Formats: sequence, C-alpha cells, structure tokens
Amino acid sequence: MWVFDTETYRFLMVNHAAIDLYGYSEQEFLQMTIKDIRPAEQLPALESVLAQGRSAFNKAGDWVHKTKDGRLLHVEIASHTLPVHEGQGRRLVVIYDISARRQAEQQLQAAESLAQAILRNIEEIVFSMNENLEVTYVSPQCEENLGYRPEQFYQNKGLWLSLIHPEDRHLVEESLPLIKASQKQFQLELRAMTAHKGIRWQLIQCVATLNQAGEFVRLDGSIIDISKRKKAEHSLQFSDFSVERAAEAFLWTKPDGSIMRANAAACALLGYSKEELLKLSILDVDAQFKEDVWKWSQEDQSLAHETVFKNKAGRHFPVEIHLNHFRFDGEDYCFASIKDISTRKQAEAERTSLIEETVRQNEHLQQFAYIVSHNLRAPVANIVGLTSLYNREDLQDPINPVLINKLERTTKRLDSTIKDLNEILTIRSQTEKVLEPVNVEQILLDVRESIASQLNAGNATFSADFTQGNRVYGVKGYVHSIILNLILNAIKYSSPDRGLEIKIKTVLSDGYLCFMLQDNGLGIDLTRQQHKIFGLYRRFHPHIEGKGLGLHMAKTQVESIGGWIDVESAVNQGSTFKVYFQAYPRNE
Amino acid sequence: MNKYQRVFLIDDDEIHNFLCESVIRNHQFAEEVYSFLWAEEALKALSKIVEETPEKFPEIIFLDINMPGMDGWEFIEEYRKLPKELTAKCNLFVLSSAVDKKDITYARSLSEVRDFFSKPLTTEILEIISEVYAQE
Repeated sequence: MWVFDTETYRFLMVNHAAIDLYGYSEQEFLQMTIKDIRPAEQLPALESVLAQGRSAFNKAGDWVHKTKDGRLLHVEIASHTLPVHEGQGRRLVVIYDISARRQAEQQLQAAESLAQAILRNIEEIVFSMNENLEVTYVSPQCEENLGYRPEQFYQNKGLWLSLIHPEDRHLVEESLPLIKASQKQFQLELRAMTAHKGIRWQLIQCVATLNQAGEFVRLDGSIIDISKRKKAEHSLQFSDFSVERAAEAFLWTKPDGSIMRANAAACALLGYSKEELLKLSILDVDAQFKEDVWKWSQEDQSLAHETVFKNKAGRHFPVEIHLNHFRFDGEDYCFASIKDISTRKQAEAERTSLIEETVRQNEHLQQFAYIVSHNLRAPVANIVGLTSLYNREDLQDPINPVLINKLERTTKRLDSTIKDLNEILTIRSQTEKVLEPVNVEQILLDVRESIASQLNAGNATFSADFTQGNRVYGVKGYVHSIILNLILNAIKYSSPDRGLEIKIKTVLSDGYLCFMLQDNGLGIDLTRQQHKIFGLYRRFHPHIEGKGLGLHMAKTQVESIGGWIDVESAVNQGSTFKVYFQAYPRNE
Repeated sequence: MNKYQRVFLIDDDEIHNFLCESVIRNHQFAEEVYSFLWAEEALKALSKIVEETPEKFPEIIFLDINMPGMDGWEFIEEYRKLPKELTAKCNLFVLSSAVDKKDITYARSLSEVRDFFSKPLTTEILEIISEVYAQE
C-alpha cells in the first residue's frame, strides 16, 4: 500500500508490505514515481488511465508490476483519493499480489486444454450425468460412435436410455441401483442402437459420486465400442464350442510332450478328467510312444500314424493319430487329432480271420475234390475193370466168382468211403458248436472199456497222469472219437517186437489242456510224412489194414472245437500225439 | 500184340492190381507180372535187380501216384537215381485214378514218365503201349 502525489506521481509513503513485495527500500521508493514500477509496455495504458479523471474510489483492476530485481507481479489494485494536504493531491493505493492465483489459473487452463485434447483423441466417449441421470456432459466422440451430437443428448434427456438395445435394458435397470449406492467402478457390456452403424457392442465404465450424506449426486464414465472384440470373442467361443463338441478327441502338447489342452472327447476317450489330463504327458497315454513321431518336424505338416493308447483304467486300445506341428506366438505346439480304431482293427481282424477261414475252406474243397478224384474214382475204376473181365459167355468160368467177390469188396469200400466223407463234411459244416465241459479222464475209461478185447489181445499196458487237469471244453462225442482213434492207431501200428505201452498225460498251457498220448510202436518217419500224416486216406505202414481216416477224423474234430493236433515220432521208437483242447469256455 | 518179358505194377489198391494182372494175362501182354502194394518194396526189388540180375529189369512199370508211405512222385525221384542204361530201356507209365489236371500235367512233364493213363487199365491202353511205345 502506498500513497502517491497525483501531480508528480512520486511516492509519498509506502508501507512494509510494499517494501517486502517490491524489494525497494523506503528511501528508494520515495525517490521513484509509480511509473518506475511498471514494465515499459504497460506505461501507455497507465498514462491513459491517469489522464482520465477518476472517481474517489476506483477499482483499477489487474495490472502487472515490476519488482526491483525485474520479476513481474500480477496485482489487483484499488485506489481512492485522500484529502488535499498542503496543496498536494494524494491517492492511496492498495495492492493485492495475485501472481499465485494467476499462475494457478494459467495452469488450470493448460490442464483444461490438455484434457480437451485427450478427450478429443481418445476412442472412448466420456460422459457425466447429474443426480437425475441427465447428461450434463458428453464428449464429441458420441457423434462418431453413436451417431448423435452432444447437443442432442443435452436436449433430449431420455435419448441415452432409448439407445440401449431392448434386450440389454434390464442390465442397466438391474445395475443402476447398485451403481448409485456406491462409489465403486462398474462395467457393463451392452448393445447400443447407433444412428448410423446399426447395433454395436459397447463397454461402459462408470463411477458414481455421492455427497457426504451418501446421496447420489453425479455419474461419470466412459463408453467404448467393443464390437470388434466381441466378434473375435464370439468366433473364438464358436471355435472352442466346436472343439469341445467334436466327436474326435483332440490333444495339444508342448515340445516336452506335456498335455496343455484337451477337449471333452479326449477326456472321454482316455477316462481322465480335464484337470487330470493336463497334468499328464503324452508319454503317459501313448503306450507305444515313438519320439520321432511326436517331436517337432515340419510346420504345417500333418502326420498320420497308428499307435496304442492307454486309458486311466489301464486298458490299451489302438488309435489313429493325425499330428500337426505348428508355431504360435513364438512357441512350438503339437496338435493331435485322435481316433479310436478298435472297431476298425476288430473289423480288420475279423476280415483276416474270414480270409483265413475262406482259405481253410478252400483247402478243404480242394482236398474234397482230390478225394472225389482219387478215393471215389478208384473203386469206380475197379468196378469198371472187374465187370469188363466178367466172362459172360462162360458163366462157369472160375474167374467169375472171384470177380464177384472183388466187386463186392470194392462196392463196400465205395460205400464206406461215401459214409466217411459224409461224416467229415457234417463235422465241418457245423461251424458254431456249443462247447461243454468234458472229462477226458472219464472218456479215456469209456474208450478203454469199449475196446477192451482188442487191448487185451495186444497185451497193452496203460499209464495215465491227469494231475494237470482232466477237464476240457469240447463236444463229448468228438473227444471220445479222437481218443478212440488215437488208441486204435497205437494198436494198429504197435511193434510186433514188443508189447504195446501207452502213456497218457495232460499238460495245461496257455489256456489249453494238452492231451498227450505216447506209444512205443513202429513210429513214422516224419521228415518224409509230416505233411501227410493227418491227410485223408493216408496210410503209413505196409501190410496193415486201414482206411487212413482215423487221424484225419481226429484232426477235423479237434479243429472244429477250437483245438489242434500235433505229432512227434521216430521210426521204431514210437509216436507221441498231442491234442490241444480248450481248457476254458471261450468268453464271447 | 507185342509181348513183354517183365511188368511191374506199383499200386496200394490190391483189387486194381488183380484187375491189371488179369487184363495183362488175358492179352498175353507180358510173361511175368509183379505187383507191389508199396513203392518202397518196388524200389527195393529194382535195386536188387540192378545189383544182381540187371537183365531182368522190367520193360514196363505201371505206377500209381496216391499211395501210403512213399508216393508215386517220391518213387520217380528214387527211380531217377538208378543206372540210366537200364531205365532208358524201361517204359514207366503213371496209372492213376486221379482226374486232377495238375497231376496229369505234372506227370507228363517228367522225362521219366512215358505217359499218363487213367484207371482202370484196359485193353486199349495195352494196345496203345505196344503200338506206340514199342516202336521207340
């Protein structure tokens, strides 16, 4: 505060505050005029003010003053006229330093324009609403994003609500009470019906302001168009959904083999829950893991191979895998599409078995053709020959009764051959047989009883060992016939030099009970006869009657009940026949 | 009809051997007919002849194929090992009840086999043999 001379503008008096503010001493002040504390550019304005006649009290407004060290001061000035003293006009000036206020104002302005710049450049719409949820501010982006200008929101208070998709309005209605009751930030995703771009997904973030009484006073927030993200999300969801719903099992693995993702079908296939599966490695499920197949090969190359998978319960099953190695975001992955091929494998096995069966049938047919060719034709040829020799002119020719005798034998042989063939064909044609438990020990006793006289005549001795089992699964009649034929065979080919010894033993092995019958008879040179021994109408020893049917019949019968027959033999030492019967019922 | 000294019959079918002997005798086809039910025995007899009385080597052999023990094919393999000067003068015929083309073709492909005839042995067969094969 100071007083100056209205004529000379010299300072007449200054107070301490002025001295402190401007930096001049009192003596210095009193040597100066009020023009000396102004920057040069302000002088014309001052002079024009001073030239005007002024009222007693004047609020001179804001001015810029200069301190002793050249600093500019923003000041507000009020002055009023003092009474004339000794002919001297005086005026009291009160100065308020407003530099700080000015600076704050300028900073605020700068901040404001920065905020505006930000608001103009961000994608989001920024808005404010009052306690009545009327839009008090909305940033210009609303035109770009929603197709309405800010003024339209200010004029039409209900516009914002009408833009919300009817199906999403309930979201707003449900959330508003919560938003208005707290000062927490809320997020809403809803669809807006824009004026120019149709329906667009928007993310709204807002926070309410409450007064001290806890009453809602305003709402501030932002709105951003998330349609693109929503679309991407949707397509991702669509892919995920498809993958989850797929009937094929899918696994994703990292280069170390660890499973990082699996779909529902993969879980079902392997019997694990998703959580369990994600803790496993491909090594845990691939029972025939081959490293070169799973390790990184060529990108975008599909590799198909078959392997065997192991489920949680430990069951193994064949699968076909298509592996795709790919690189995503700098990481290597392997995507595997897995198909259970048990059914196919089974079908393949069935096909193989069918082929084997067909081949077998074909062999039988060939053999049958051969039998027809040889065994049926041989007696017929004899009949033709014998009848041609018959002396019709002289019925008393002594050759005639001989021929008749031979004709009879030949026709009987023919008849018996046809009967045998019929029997064999009957056994073979019954492919599906119901197997029953059969006690081979009991059957052996029955057989021995039925041929007791022959055994006694040959002085045969028996030893039998059934410690490894006497129960087989088969057809009782067949088992009887097999054992009978083997014993008859042993009697037939017993050595004339020594008494017949028959040793019988059972051996349990791999689901089969092997019925072993060893004799000390003539034996067979198997190096030459192996392929013929079980053939039809094969005989191996001179001077011994036989149709060569017994062993073939045994073979046919045991094969028809799921077993097989084998032989070991040495000339003049004896033979050992091994008949393998099923030891357990087939579980089918 | 040409008359031969010695004929061997090798067939496990006794009745057929009887039949052959009767036909051969009726037509005075040969002086002596020897029947063998087993190829092994026939081979043994031939080996003995080779060693002791080669001049008695048969001129005609009728061989069956399907026999127990050594069959016709195996017999031919052993027969092949006998001295060539003897077997060259002998006519070996396969006489079988087989009607299987494969057997017939195979029999005719063997150099030791002169021809293949289907059973039964008839006068016609004997005539063919004496007319065709005796010329050689």
